[in-house]
Amino acid sequence: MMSYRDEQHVSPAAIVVTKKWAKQHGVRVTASRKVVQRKLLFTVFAIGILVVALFPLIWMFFSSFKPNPEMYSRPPRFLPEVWTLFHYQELFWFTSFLQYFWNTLATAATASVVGVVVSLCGVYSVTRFQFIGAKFFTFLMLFIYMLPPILLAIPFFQIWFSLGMLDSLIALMLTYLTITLPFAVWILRPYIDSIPREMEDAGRVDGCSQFQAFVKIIIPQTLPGISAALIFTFVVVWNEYLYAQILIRSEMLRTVSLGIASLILETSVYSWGLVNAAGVVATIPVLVLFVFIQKGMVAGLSAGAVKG
Amino acid sequence: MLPMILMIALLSFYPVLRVLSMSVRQQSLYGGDSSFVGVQNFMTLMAEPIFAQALWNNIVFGFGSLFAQLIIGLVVALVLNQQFYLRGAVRGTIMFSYLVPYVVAAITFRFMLSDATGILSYLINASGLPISSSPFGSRDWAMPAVIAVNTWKNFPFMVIVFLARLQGISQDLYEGASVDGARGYQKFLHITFPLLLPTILVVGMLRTIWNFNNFEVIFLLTSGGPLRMTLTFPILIHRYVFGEFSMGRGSALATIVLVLLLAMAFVYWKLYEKMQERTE
Repeated sequence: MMSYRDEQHVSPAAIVVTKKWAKQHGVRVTASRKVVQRKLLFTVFAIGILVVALFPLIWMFFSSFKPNPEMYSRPPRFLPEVWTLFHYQELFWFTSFLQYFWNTLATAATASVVGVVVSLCGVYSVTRFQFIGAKFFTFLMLFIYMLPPILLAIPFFQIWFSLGMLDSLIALMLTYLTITLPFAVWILRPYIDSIPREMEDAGRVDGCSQFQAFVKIIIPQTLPGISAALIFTFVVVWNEYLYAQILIRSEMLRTVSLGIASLILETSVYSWGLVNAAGVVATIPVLVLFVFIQKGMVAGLSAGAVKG
Repeated sequence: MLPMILMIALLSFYPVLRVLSMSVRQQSLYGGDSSFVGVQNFMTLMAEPIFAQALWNNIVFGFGSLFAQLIIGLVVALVLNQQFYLRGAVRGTIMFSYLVPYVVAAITFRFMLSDATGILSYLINASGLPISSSPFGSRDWAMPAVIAVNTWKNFPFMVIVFLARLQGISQDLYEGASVDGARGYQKFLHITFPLLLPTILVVGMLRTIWNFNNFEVIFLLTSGGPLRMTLTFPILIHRYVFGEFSMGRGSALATIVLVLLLAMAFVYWKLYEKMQERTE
């Protein structure tokens, strides 16, 4: 959308009346019929795309409320004929899913907080102290970003095995730092880069130490980036499967992803209702968090890839 | 601050160096005696027919997913860049499939494509199309099916990045073109596409690498089957190391993958630098 403030010279025809301006000045803006028709047409397109894109998730959601026999009804019904919470009861009472949920929550939260704090200091040091390694550091980050997880899994397994820490959530969390650190750096860097040097220098002139300048000037300015980085890394770890699959053996230490995978990989006869309910439960935290930082996440995601 | 850099360097370089050193040794997963065998691991690895097959599968899976994601991502981004009602809400929710765990993607598609319960299986059967109604177990359809799931899971990444770029294109350009009498497709070909091209190249490279490395989609849907039709390098490495406990062969294969990726990353790095020069 174009806003006239961004343009240096505005031809009269290009002036766009914003909704806010119109409201403030009591002007009624009536779009032409053609514009409304076009808008409606694209609304239909967009909703159509959305329904197709989200269909697997919608289907999973409704199916989790269907009694098992209804799964097999032909033709399949979209909405449950009889709504039941049976599968959710089964999930929480008869499986260890609640434990898996807690394991994942604790691991993901720790890995994301530690990762973001450490990388915040790291990014700051790279952008502020112009030592020779700055370019190397960025390259390093890109390099980590591209390493195949399966390649890293081999030495991680060996390291934790030789330390006798295989099959522990602490080892899993520490391993996840290799994901959250570069991710957080990727998201935070543009935010810190965009803070004008002068702001900090002004603080230093007023008697701030470097550390005070960091806490009082950099952190508040970077807050949107920090929240985006926290939530984004949390989601990435929450969703992770490969490292958990390799490092965790005990049933009681499983993450949500491992729990669901075991439902479909290890048993040949399973209740689809239970599987769907587990899928819904695994998805909800991710989508709830997403609602909070939608803007930050989109910005963070695209910041790395399109700097222009 | 320097210790931090060292820590990160350690986190990334140490595992890589370890894999490199293991690739020239013969060792079991659980340690024990190791002996130096030189390039023998690489030789035996490449001599097996499974190597060529996995390489080919990896290329098909990686680039097949890439093109599907690029095209769908571009079309969806162009539609969502128009003016329409509920724009913000639609743009947000289109990301959902990108955000859900891979296991969720795996169970929904397994559920929808299982013969007895699946809605997609039902629709395929009802439509009479010559497509397998349980593609994950079909020789011919397993690969297209895993590509489709990978595409569904990851196309929103493309949409987000393309939308961000599209919003940065000045409307003046389009208005100028309109004054000159350009049609919609001409505007796309001569304004939108050239401006989008650097972004397409960069996200294309990123996604190529991620698709190439993808383990979860195939492991959770087919585990490389049926008859190795969807067996890719990550699955094969996992099988060597954690199935056959052959650290040497697994590490040698991981090294080969790393070299392939570094070649791609080099191209990406060059593009990235070029783009930064342009914006500075």
